[in-house]
Amino acid sequence: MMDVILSVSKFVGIMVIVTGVVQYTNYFMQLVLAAIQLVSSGKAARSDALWRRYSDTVPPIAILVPAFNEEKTIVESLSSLMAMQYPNYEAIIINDGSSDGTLDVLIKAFGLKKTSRLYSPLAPHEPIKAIYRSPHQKRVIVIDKANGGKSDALNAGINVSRAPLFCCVDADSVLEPDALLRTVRPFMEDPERTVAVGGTVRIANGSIIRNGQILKVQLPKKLLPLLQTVEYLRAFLMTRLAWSQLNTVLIISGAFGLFRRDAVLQVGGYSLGTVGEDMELVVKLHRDLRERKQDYRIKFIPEPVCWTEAPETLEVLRHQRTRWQRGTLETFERHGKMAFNPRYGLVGVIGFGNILISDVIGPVVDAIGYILFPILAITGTLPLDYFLAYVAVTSGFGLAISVGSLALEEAQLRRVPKASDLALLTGICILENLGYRQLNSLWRIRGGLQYLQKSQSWGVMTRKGFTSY
Amino acid sequence: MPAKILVADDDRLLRGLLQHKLAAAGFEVDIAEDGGTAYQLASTMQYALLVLDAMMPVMDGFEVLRRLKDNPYTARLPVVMLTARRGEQDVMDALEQGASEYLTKPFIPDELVLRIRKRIEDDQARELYAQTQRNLPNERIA
Amino acid sequence: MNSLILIWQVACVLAGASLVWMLTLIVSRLIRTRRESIFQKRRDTITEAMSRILWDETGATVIDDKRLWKSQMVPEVFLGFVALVRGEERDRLIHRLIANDVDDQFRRLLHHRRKSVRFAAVEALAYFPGLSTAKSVDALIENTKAADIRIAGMRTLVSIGSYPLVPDVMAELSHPNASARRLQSVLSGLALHRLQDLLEYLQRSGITDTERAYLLESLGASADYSVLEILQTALQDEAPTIRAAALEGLADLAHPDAAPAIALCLRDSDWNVRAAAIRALRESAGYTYASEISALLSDPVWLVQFESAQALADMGPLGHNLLESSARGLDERVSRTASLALAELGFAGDGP
Repeated sequence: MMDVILSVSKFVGIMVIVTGVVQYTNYFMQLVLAAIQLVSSGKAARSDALWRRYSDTVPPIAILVPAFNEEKTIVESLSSLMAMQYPNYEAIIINDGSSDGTLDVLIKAFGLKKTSRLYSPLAPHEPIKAIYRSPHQKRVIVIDKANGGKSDALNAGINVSRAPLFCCVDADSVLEPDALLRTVRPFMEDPERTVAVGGTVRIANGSIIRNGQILKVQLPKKLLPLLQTVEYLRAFLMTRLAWSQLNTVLIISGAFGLFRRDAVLQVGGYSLGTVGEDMELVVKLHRDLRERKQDYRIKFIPEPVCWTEAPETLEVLRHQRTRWQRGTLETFERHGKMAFNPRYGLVGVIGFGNILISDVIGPVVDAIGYILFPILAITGTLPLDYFLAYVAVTSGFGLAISVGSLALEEAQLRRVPKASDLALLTGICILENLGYRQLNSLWRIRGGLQYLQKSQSWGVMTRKGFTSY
Repeated sequence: MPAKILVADDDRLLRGLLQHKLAAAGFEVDIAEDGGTAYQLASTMQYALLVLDAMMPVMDGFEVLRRLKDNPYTARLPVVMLTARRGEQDVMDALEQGASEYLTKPFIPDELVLRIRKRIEDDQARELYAQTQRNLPNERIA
Repeated sequence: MNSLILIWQVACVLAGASLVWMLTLIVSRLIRTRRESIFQKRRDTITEAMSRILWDETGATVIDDKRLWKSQMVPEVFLGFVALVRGEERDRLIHRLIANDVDDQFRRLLHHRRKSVRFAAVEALAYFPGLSTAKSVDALIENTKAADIRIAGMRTLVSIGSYPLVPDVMAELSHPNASARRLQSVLSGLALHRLQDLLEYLQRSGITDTERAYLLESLGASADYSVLEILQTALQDEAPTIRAAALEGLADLAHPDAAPAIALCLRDSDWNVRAAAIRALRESAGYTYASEISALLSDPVWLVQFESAQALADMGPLGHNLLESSARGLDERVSRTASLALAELGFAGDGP
C-alpha cells in the first residue's frame, strides 16, 4: 500500500517538475525574443530628438481619463496632462457619476463652461449629462455622465473624442512628458497596420512626485513595492516585448495605452461589465481583425512612459491580484474558441497557450507541489534528485529569469537610477523566489475560485493604485 | 529704470540665450523654470512683460495664460508666447485668450527684442496719451 | 533519475550566469557614472562656446580649444541651437562652424560606430549645404542598414536642395519600420523638384496600391496644374485607398477646377472616400457644393455625417442656414447631427 502511495506521489511530483520546466522554457524563450527586439531597436532617442523628427507629422491624439471620486487629485492630474510634449492633443476627463466634488473642482480650476459637442453614439454607455469645456483652453473637455464603471466611461470618451487615436490613462497614472511622442512611433512607422500600442508601466512608490510629474526616480523603500518593481520589469520588459515581436500581445495596461479609434469602434468599444476590460479589449481586437483577415499589428514599446502607485499592503495587493486573475479567466472563457484555433494564428497558440500554462494550469500545479513536496520531505520519502529538481523549478529558474530581465533593462534602457539600486534589485530577484512567488500562486488560485463561484461581491474598491476604479 | 521681464521656459539653453539677449537690449530679466513658478511670480511681482513657453512642467503655458487673464490683477500683463507648438489652433487659442504675440521656435532673437520693446513702448504711449487726454482743458473735448 | 539532476544543474548554471552578467553590469554602471559626468562637462563647454559665438557680433570670439569641435556631441548640441534660433544669429553660428571645419567633422561622424551620433550628424548636415555634404549623405544612404537613418538622410538631401531619386525613396516604402509618414514629407518635398520622376514612377507597371497612394497624395504639393488630370483620373480607380489618396492630393492642390470631379465622390460607395471628398471640397470649392455636402448629413456612417456638419459649420452664413434647415427637418438623425453642430458653433442655445 505504501509503495503505491509513494509511486503515485512520485509521479505527481514529476508532473509538477515537468510543468515547471515547460513554464520556464516558455519564459526563457520570451527573454531571448525580448533581447533580440531590444538590441535590434537600439537605444531610445532623447525626447528633443523625437520632437525634432516627429512633431510635424504626428496624428492628433485624444487622452481619455475616467475619473470616479478623484476630487483630491484630478486638477493636478489634468494640469500635468496639459503639459505633455505633443503638438496636437486634447484631454477628455470623464466624470463617471462621482459622488464627491470631482466635477466642481474641475469646473472651478479650469473655468469650464457647459457646451454642446457633436459626438457619435457608436460605443454603448450610460447617458451623458453634460459636456464642459474651457472657453479658452479648447484642449480640455470634461464629460459628466451617470455612473457606469470604467469601460462605460471610456466608451463615452471614445464617442466624444475626434482624434484618430485615443490614449486611455488612469486618473492616478503619472506620465512621462514625452509619453505620447514615444508611444505614437509605431503608428508613424507603420500607419496602416498598427492598431494599438502599449507602453511600459513602472512602479512610482518611493519616487519624488510633484504636481503630477516625476521629479526624481527612486526605488521604493518598502519590500512589497520593491518586489513588484522586479515583477513589472519582467512582465513589461520581457513578456510583453516578446509578444510584441510575435504580434501576440494580449494585454495593454489600462494605466496607459494608445489605440486607433476606428479599430476599437469596429469592435463596439470596451465591453461593459467585465473585470479586466483592458485585456478583454485587446483580445477582442485580435479576434475581430483575425476574423476579418486584416493584416495588423498590436505593439509594445519598452521605454517606460507611465508610473503608477503599487499596493503597499498585502491585503490590497491580494485584492488586486485576485481581480486580475478573475479578469484573465473571464477573457479566457469569453474568447475561449480562439485558443489553439489555427484561424487565429499565433494569438491562439502562443497568447492563449501562455494563459493556459501560467494562469490556469500553473497555479494549480504549483499548489499541488507546495503541499506534496513538504509532505514527502517530512515523511522522509523525498529522494534527493526530486528535491533538487523541485528547488530548480521553484527558485533556480525563476531567479535566472528575473535577474536576466533586470540585466536586459540595464544593458539597453538604463533607467534604474544608481549602481547600488541595481544591486538591491538583484537581491530582490533572489528574495522574490522565496515566498513572494508562492504567495502569488495562491492568490491566483483564490482568484480562480472566486471566478468559479462567479462571486458578485467583488469587495470594496480601495483607493490606492490600480484597485481604485 | 530698466523694464523687468519674466522669462518662463523649461529649456535651460533657451533661458540662457534669452537672458543674454534681453539683458544686452537693456531689460532686467527674471527666470521661471516651470509654469507653476511662472504664474506665481507673475501674480506676485510687477513685470513689464512675460515671455511664455507652452510645454512646461507643472502647468502648461496656455493654462498659465488663462489664469493670468482671469485674474484681474494680472489680466493686463502683456504676454509673448514663444513656443515650439506651431499648430494653427494653438496660435488662435493663445491670441484669443489675450496673448500679445505668438512666436514659434526657432525664432529670430532680434525680432523678439523688437516686438517686446514695441509692446512696452505702446503701453507707455497709451498711458501717456490717456494722461494728456485727462489733463486737457474741458472745452477741447467738447 | 539523471534528468532530474540535469534540471538542477541547468538551473544552477543559468542562475549563476545571470548573476555574473548582472555583476558585470553593476561594475560597468559604476564606471559609466563617472564617464557620464565627464561627458556632461564636455557638453556644457560646447554649449557655452556656441553661445559665445551666437552673441558675438564682431566675430572676435576665439575658441582656444580646437579639440572641442571634434567631439561626437557637437551635432546634437548644434541641433539644440538651431531648434531655438534662426536669422542672423544662426547664420553666424553656422559660418563660424564652417570656418572651423566642423562640417567636415560632421561628415566624418556619419561613420561613427554609435547610431545616435550618426543620426544627429546627418540631421545637422541639413544646415551645411554643398556638394561634399550631398555626396557623403548619398554614401550614407547607400551603405547604412538603418531605415530611419536613411530617411533622415533623404530629408537632409531635400533640405539642402539635392533631391534623392524617386525610386530610392519608393524603395523605402517596402521596408518594415520605415517611418511611412516621414517618407510622405520627403515625397512632398520631391513633388516640387522632381515632379517628372514622380509621374514616371506612377506610370510604372507593377507598383503596389500603397506606393500609388503615397505618390498621388504627394502630387498635391507640386502646385502644378498638370497633375490635376492625373489625380482626377485616379478618382475612378477601383481601390478605395487610391481614390482617397487622390482626394488628399486634390485637397492639397486646392484648385477649383477639380471641384466637379471631387463632388462626384460624395456619392462613392466607400465611406472613407466620401469623408475625404468633403474635406477636399472644403479646400477647393468654397461653398459651391454646400447643398450636396448637406445631403451627407444623413449618411449611414457617423464620420461622414460629422465631416459634412463640420464643413457646413465652416462655410459661413450659407452653411449655417443649411444646418438650420436640416435641424428643423423630419429625419431624426439629420436633425440631431445638425442641431448639435449648430450648438457647438454657439448658435441655438445649449443643444439637446
